[in-house]
Amino acid sequence: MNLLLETKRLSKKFGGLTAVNRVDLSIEEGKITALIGPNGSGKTTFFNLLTGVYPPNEGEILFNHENVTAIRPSQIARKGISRTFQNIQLFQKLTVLENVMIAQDLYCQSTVFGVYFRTKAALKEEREMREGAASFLRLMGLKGMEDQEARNLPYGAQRLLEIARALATRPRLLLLDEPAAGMNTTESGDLMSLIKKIRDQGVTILLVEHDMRVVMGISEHVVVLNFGQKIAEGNPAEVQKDAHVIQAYLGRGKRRA
Amino acid sequence: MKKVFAWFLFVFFLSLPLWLPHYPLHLVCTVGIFVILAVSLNIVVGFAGQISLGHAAFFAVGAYTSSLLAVKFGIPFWIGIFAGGFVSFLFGILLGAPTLRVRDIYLSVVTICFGLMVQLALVNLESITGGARGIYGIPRPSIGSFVFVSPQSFYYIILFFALLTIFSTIRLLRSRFGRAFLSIRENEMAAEAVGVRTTYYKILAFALSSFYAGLAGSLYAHYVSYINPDAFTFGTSVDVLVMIVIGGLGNVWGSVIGAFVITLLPEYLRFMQQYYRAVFGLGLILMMVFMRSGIISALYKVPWARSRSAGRETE
Repeated sequence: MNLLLETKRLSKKFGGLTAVNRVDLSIEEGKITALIGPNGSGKTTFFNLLTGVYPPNEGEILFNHENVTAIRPSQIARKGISRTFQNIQLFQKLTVLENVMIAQDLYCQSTVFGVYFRTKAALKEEREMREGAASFLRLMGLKGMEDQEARNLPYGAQRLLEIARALATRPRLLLLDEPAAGMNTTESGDLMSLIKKIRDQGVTILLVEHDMRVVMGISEHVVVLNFGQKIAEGNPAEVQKDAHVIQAYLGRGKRRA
Repeated sequence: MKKVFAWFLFVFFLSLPLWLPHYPLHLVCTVGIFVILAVSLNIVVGFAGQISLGHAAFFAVGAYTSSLLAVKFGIPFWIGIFAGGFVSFLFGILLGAPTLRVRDIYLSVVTICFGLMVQLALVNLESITGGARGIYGIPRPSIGSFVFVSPQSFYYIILFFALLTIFSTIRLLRSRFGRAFLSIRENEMAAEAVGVRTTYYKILAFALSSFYAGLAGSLYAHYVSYINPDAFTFGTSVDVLVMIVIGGLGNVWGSVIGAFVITLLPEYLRFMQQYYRAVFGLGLILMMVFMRSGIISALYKVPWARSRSAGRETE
């Protein structure tokens, strides 16, 4: 099995707070890995480190055996890591189709000159981008909404659009930050089968999620963070039984003393 | 309906010199130059979402470049105007660079300072720029033995470059470049996350915008045939910014309308004598209060005028 992503002693401090504390993590290619932990345990900060939003204070990130520590977010995306956000970050006033087309910018070849003179190559590229974007929307079940402004979509559809946009960069590793947040049981059920479908197309997935039904239902490997440190990992069944995990989520029982 | 209207406008503007008196035609020529400035500033402010209060600097760079080339080296206008655009383009890259580090109010201060620096340089580099006296006797463009002296003939040169600016900008903004600019305006963090190299696009927006402003500068210089630093003040930068805001940020035709309104309105308020500036100011305030997304958005409420092709409004 190829190790697609490895972090080594990855740390991030904000003032006196160590949000991520020497985390070693390995993700195997082709698997769905979940990152869980109580609120404030450093999951989103960990995502932000992986995608270059902040540089880490310590440690390194290897993506496909290449050191990608502290490079710009756009470079990370170009290397094949794409993400969604916990608080939806769409291009609000642009159309659904445009939102996805923008994510294909990294594949665009046409020049300013080509655009001014409407060269054949530039027009062809534009057409392909449009068709490509439409196919990602179909995959996420957003067909028919192409021309609506992103801000006018219902909440669940906005989450799906963010995933469609992330997929349009054609990533090898997709990071999903609480994709099921705010979804009802039916919606999160659909989401689970969608995530599996994406994995089956060869995209490795790392997700942060609070909905345990989703986490336990689709992930093959679970990593638990608490106060910025990795406290457990394993398959879902193992993690559920782990004493540290139970303690982190439910607190320490009094009788134990 | 829209096509008919467009052709009507085209014929109208083509025929203007045939029936419009000298002074109004001169005003329309001025409007044309400001159309280029406004449309170009809109690329940076309305589309890429970067505030700029130094647009007059690029106007100046274009004007001085092509004037000096013409006066000192006898280079014809037709080459000089593109040289002016090119040098201005380079200056645009220079101003684009700080946008990578500062934004919003800080960026507006940086751009104001840039504008002031360029103006100070024009005043103080006397041996090159002629200092406060400026440059005299800038030759009129010519084709063969025909010289574009009168506003009636020069009008067509301005019309040509204004249309060139409008339609090439629309093409640019409808392409991958326009989408990338808009993505920065809408959500820079998300743009980076999906692989948009925001630094490259911000500098590109400034550079292309400056190129057009350089063309406008060269047109202005050869039209009035005399330039000095007073034509390129902070006030000019503010005027252009007001045009694009009044017209509707992020819409090319909005900028065109804004250029007309802001250039012509004071002229038609002259009858109010000493009060006209106050009335003009009050008018602008009212427009901003009641039409926050600009004149063009108000026009879009007329169904047949609705078109998203020329731009995307901010609010």
